[in-house]
Amino acid sequence: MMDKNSYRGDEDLEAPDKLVKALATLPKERVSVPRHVDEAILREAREHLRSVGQGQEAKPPAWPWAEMMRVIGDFLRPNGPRWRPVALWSAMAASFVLVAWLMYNFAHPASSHAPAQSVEDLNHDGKVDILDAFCLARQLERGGRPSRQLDLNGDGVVDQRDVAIIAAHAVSLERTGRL
Amino acid sequence: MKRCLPMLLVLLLAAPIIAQEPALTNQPIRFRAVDVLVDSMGKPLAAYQLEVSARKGTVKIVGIEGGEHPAFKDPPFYDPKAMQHERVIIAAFSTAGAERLPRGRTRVATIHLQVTGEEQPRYSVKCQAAASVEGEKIPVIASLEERRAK
Repeated sequence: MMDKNSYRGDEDLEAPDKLVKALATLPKERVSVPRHVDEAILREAREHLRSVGQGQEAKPPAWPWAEMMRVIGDFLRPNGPRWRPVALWSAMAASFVLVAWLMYNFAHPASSHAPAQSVEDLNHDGKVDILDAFCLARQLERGGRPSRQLDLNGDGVVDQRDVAIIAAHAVSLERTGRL
Repeated sequence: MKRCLPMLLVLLLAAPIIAQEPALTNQPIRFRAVDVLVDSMGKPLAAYQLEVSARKGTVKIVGIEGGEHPAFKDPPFYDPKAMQHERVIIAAFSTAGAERLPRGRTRVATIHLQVTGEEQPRYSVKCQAAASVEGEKIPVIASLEERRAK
């Protein structure tokens, strides 16, 4: 197949005389449009665009999200509304607050700054330690009937195995955050 | 040459590990036993919870045994994950009567450690909780004593 841009020997690369003459007759001086014509065209264009814009506003949006997307589109447009910088700063501030809040919550998990509300905190001192296991063991030894909530292993009875579970929680290194 | 390049790269990356190996094996390893003591200051000791850790040196916990008093003869509760680490929380209780509980200073547990290197380890103990017979909290003094190597 022959390349379209390749030169063929029988082709005449000279411009036709008719074209050369027509180009020579073109006016040499620059054509200028009078100012009043320019302004008239602009005025007409503005009026036309205004009427088109009013027509669009009269129509209710088909979907709320479509309207939202249009607002976002306006916002992102290079020549967007004047409140764009304010909105940008507000969004940045909100992001900053959100990140700060997340970091604080990661660094201070609820268990470390709120008193323990665990069912295992039998002596209600705000933490689960060996004294809670001791408390349950004493109750069991005295024949008391501890709360069924203390059936921590779910075997249907509250016994020494549940005491051992509380004790295991008390000495767990993971609860204290580091090994 | 192209075939040799990956091999060379692997060797270069592994060099620090290979170089470290003799250094680790050359470190002296010794075993130590540290007694954990609690002084209940005259009150019957029914329950305790302590945090024991090594602050200096390369130390690994290799075993935990109970104390001298019959009330705390059994090994205390501890997290098995503490093994091979330098920190542990130990805890125990006894529901025996006041007359069968230790009063004053008593060994409640012994921790066996593997110490690597020449550095002398330092240990610390912190009391997290202690109680007497009815579960009332009592102040105690916890301390550690390293046993003399035979």
